[in-house]
Amino acid sequence: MSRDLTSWLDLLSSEAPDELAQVTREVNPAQFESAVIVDALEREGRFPAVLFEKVTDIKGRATSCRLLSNTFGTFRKIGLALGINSGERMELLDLILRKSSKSFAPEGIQLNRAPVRAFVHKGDRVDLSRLPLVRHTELDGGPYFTPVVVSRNMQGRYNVSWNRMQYLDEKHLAIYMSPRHLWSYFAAQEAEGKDLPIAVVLGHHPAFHLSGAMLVPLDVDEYAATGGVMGNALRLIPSESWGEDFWIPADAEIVLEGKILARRRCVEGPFGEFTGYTGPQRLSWVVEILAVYGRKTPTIIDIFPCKTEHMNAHLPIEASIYARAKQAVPGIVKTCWVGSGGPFNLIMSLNKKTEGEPMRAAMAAMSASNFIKHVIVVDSDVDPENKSEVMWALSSRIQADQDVTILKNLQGQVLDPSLRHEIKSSGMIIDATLPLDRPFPRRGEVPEQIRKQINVLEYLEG
Amino acid sequence: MDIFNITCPACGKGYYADMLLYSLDLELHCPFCDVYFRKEDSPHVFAGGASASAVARLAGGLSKEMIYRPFRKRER
Repeated sequence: MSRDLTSWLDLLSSEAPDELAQVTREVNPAQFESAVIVDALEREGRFPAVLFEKVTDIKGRATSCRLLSNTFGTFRKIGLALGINSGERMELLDLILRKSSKSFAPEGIQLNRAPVRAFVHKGDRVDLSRLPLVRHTELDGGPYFTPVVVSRNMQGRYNVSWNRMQYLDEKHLAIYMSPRHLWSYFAAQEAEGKDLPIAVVLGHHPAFHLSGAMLVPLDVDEYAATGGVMGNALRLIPSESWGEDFWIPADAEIVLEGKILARRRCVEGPFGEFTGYTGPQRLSWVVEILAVYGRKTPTIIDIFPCKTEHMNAHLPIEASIYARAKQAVPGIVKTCWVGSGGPFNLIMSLNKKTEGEPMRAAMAAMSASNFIKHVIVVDSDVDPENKSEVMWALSSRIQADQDVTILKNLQGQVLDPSLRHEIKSSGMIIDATLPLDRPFPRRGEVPEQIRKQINVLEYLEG
Repeated sequence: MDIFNITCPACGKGYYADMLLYSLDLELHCPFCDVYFRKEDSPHVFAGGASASAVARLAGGLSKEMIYRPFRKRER
């Protein structure tokens, strides 16, 4: 059975109706209206997916599109996207790792069976101003899509990534690329004076979008890896522009088919990012859109980049970090990057067997992803998700001159606002574990045996 | 990355951009009024850097007229 966004929304309505809010009143996303709703809910500590039933295009005209925000606002919704009714972090990380290790080769289907081809606009009929793009933060350089971008390198490997894209005109978008796979694919093409074909997927099953955040080895095709995460082979169709040389997802809501132009650049941004800051206007790349396909009433997934859902959607990256650290030090119990309180802070707990393990685990985690700048390692009696406990361990288990290690000249995350250099960063590891090579005081606790013997309620009654 | 603050000459609102854009010959884009403009036309550009925290700095920045040029008699 094909899995698409409609099937997930149906599942959400039946399994977790409190996780979905519907807005039937017309909103203009390019004038911040959808962002204001999501922002207001988050300020109240509420994170439902918000389905905007009627949205306008960037010129305020009615569209046939719907807009879905906060798809990844809670771990429970991520669980439902992955096929389990749970929002427990370590259960989700283990599930992501299991699923991502099972690739499914994608399946080509006939064009007339593809839901995404309810309409196809090409050439002069391409008009991006007819779509609902979103402004989220006050300095955003224009209305944006927050899509999944599919690309293919010269060897035929497909890549699936998240990239912000700013509206420039009816046929052009700006795209920002961090120096990862898509960026390297484009650099290789541009070196030969060629444009890079891409498919901009504006809505699909949430598991498809989560796949965009997976750290997939370069010898694994990401369409196949995405099939693993979705639990079935991804259905694909040949593209309008490149036929079977470039395949696009058949069950998407809308796909923009286009190419990143060689030897062209533009100014793009500012843009509110996952860091919680609005990043500066930058030099970025230009995409020419050649065709737009879609369902009859498509639903576009929008991710509010400065809000909780954006970091939550990075959970597949945390799964990779956890796996790398656990490979180095099997005693790792739990990680907390997403929700750690900072986009570059990782907290890990472990059952320490020897001195040096915290440092080894931290370095493995840092090597897994340039999102990690600071690592705090605690013992397993401290819950990495409980910030009070972590701060207690930091204040009582470390001596800064011995337990804090500063690393220099790391490859940083280009969106880190504290960087002076564009990409070079420093790092910090804090070993807040108890020493094994000398005595250390115990936690102050009442005797456990007596705690178990006494029924507190009997003492407090009356 | 280092950034610079800039004020749009059309609407007077400020934002910021990558220092790389400071050195390139291109038009910047105002996120508020959608106007493209050159930084030379901006009424206020603030690039920061070490001199921005100099003890002799001036609130509001320095203009050409504020720079004193020593008067010297022509030597014979």
